[in-house]
Amino acid sequence: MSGFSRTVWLVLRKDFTVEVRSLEIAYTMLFFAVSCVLIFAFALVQEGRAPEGGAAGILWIAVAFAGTLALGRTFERERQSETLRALLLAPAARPAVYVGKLLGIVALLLAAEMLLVPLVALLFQAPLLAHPVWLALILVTGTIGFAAVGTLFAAMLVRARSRDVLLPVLLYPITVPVIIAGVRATAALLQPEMDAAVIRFWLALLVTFDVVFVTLSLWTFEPLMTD
Amino acid sequence: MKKWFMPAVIVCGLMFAIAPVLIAGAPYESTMGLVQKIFYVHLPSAWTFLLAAIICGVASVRYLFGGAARQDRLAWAAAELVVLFGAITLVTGPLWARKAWGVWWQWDVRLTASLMGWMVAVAYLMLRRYGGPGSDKLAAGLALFGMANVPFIYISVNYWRTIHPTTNVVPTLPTSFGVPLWFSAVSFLLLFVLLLRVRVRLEEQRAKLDAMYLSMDA
Amino acid sequence: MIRLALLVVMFAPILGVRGAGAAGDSVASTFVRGAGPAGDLIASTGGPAVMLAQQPPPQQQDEFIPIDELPAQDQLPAAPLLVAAYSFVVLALFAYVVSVGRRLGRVQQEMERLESDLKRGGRT
Repeated sequence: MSGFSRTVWLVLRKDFTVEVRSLEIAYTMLFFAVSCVLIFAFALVQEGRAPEGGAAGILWIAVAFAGTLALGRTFERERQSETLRALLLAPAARPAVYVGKLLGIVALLLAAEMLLVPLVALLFQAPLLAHPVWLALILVTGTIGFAAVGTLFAAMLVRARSRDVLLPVLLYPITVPVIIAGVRATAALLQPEMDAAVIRFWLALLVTFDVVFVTLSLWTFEPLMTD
Repeated sequence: MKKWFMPAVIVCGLMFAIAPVLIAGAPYESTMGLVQKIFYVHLPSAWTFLLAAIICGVASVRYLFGGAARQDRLAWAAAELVVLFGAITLVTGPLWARKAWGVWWQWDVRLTASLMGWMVAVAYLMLRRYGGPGSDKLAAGLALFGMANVPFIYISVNYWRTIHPTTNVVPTLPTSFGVPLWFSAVSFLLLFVLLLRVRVRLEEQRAKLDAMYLSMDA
Repeated sequence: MIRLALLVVMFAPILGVRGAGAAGDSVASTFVRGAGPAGDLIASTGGPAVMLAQQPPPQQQDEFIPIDELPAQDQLPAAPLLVAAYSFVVLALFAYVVSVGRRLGRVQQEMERLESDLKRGGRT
């Protein structure tokens, strides 16, 4: 077990060190996410009024889009420097490599959400920060679910042709439950009186999704990454 | 081709020739009238769609965990039929719904789950078509995840909204409706088996061709 | 919302429709379960009218495009929809069979060509 967590930590630290050196993915993804929200604001805010209930959807769309970009870039970098091959050749447990990658992506997305939430709250006049704990729970579970599938697919696609287009094509149909649950839970949070039962249902669904898909990914990462 | 194939094609052709007569002869359903006759193709194609999806998923999982290339060919063939029968289901459904519900589309559980399943199958085919070498394993992984996703889509959309005739209406159908429906269902099933066989055959021939090219190079 | 409920109630005896709030964000779903015995299927023409009378008038729709007036079956001619459905089925199946046939033919052709090439190559 200690070997497993050590590998996870090493993979995570490696990604972090590489990212900190240039901050390429972080900056591009953040800027992309912000432009995404701005485009929605231009498209939907009319006469200074935001559409009712739009904030939750826009927040999650921005997360999904930015997440796809981050996933693609992270693994593109690995591919260009042939490091993923080296990583997989190393005598390390494959699932540990996956978990390390997953944690890196989740951290990156959570950082983006910290910027996105205030921005959406501001532009769409939504009381997103009224219940910070609930919101954090929804965002964390939703992000893990999205990234769990995304990390596996992005890793698989490293060897495929036209991987840039294929990633969203494969990822979005599979992550529909996450998006529905995330948007509905966030929308319930934005109601004048918060409906805790509804949020709890969606959170339970998100947690189940996370558990099932992380388990499945750990289980299939080995056969999928073997040539 | 196997011995059973040509007789089966003839039987299937005959069944598809008889089916319209049976469907036309069935009595009009009282409130929906003529449009209800869409059910005789909608329901069987939906069942075939589901069957194809299950075959694709099971074959993919078997292929992923050390299965033979045969499983992969079966999965690919089944995925194409998922797209075909899914398209039929998803087109005939709204045509019925326009009349019966007054809308083309509803975000109901079955509709949404079918649409998502169909999209996963389309993504599967795109991956096979454009993914390049090694996409067989990736596609198998996608099929596995697509299968695992179905209950989540069901639960999430069910909690979100629902309107669809439940399946428990089928056994209660009187024979005048039931006979054409079951006849149509058996026709679709037979057609599915035949198409699957032909499609697998295509993949087998392709594999043979590749082997020939390889032996030439060697 | 209400009109949809009306529709659902109308069809409930025939189909055993399980209807729910399809519009808005209402999560609480009302289940309208039709008894749906076989006999009702044909002889329930009186049913909808009675049920209609009991419903409150339609108020507003949030989500779907409503049909202008009830009952729905008098609204749209069914024949074009039916024809469209069946012709789509026939066309889709036909197109698929043709496509598989062509692909199979092409592979077969290439195999034959390759085989003859191999034979010729072998002799010389």
